[in-house]
Amino acid sequence: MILNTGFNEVVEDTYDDISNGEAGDNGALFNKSQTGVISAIAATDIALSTKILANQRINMTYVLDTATANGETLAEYEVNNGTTAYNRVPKSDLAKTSSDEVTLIQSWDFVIVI
Amino acid sequence: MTIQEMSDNAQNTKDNIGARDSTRNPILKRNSELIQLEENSTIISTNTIGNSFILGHSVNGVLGTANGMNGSQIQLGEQGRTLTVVRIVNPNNTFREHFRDTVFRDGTSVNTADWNTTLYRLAMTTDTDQTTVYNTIATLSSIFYNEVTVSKVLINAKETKHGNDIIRYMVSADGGSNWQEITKATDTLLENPGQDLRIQVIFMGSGANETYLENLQVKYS
Repeated sequence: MILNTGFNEVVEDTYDDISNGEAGDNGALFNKSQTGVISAIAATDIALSTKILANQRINMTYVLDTATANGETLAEYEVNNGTTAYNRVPKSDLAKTSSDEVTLIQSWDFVIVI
Repeated sequence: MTIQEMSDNAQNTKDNIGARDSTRNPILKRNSELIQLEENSTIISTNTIGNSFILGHSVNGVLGTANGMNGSQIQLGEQGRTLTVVRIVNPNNTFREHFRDTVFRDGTSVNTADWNTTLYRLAMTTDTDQTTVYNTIATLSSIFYNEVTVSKVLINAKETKHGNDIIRYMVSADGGSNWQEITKATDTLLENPGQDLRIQVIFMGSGANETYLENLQVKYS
């Protein structure tokens, strides 16, 4: 049986590993063989603004400020460790302008399934 | 020799002796455990700069001028900003609520059910008195909002009910203008498709805090 200490170690290792978010402009459907955003916008590969671990849940916030990615279309997003993407989130297009910040909030839950 | 091989040999011996076969292979129970990582909803919002001063900004970088994004004078600090949720998306078109927080509890609507973030459940009420009949409701704010029309919904949840208590589910795909009752675990076509999906859960009965649901899942297309 998996001990609480072992489970916590897995959760904390993941929490320690993730560092960045990155956006792209291709909103194609998700499939597991993808390796991250399909069409990355290089300037958006920046550190997560916040990441918080509590109750086996990681909460993350990623912010594109008024100076970043202006004129770009945001249609996909990933969380990565600087090299490898953990996920990819496609969505409908969102035009980025200097008039606003764009904030993405996401959470991941870890659960033991017996 | 593995346990499986020993079992097979025993079976073979019995077969060769010719007596009526009464042996049974032992059932090897494996304790399967998984550590599962679940991605929850992604909420995307924009925050306008209003008339806040932003160093180096082409418009909001000049203090005292009345040309802020909202026509007001540029001022130091956070001024005239507007936060708007513009997208909510879920992996595999499935919204999951584990009741670990109240992010999706609609603070602008009636919420009389107990959103229990300690026991990770949505309960009929916080009360324990089972001599009273309760009629409570939980309203979730937008759980999907992505300029894509939703026309079909499937809800699942792990329900625990006291006596003959009833748990009902209502769905709106047009931001709460029209609600439709749907049956749990039944793929349902919506009478009013839309792009802003919301859920209500209604509890009726006397189970008090012993009637609740866990692991709410809403699949849509």
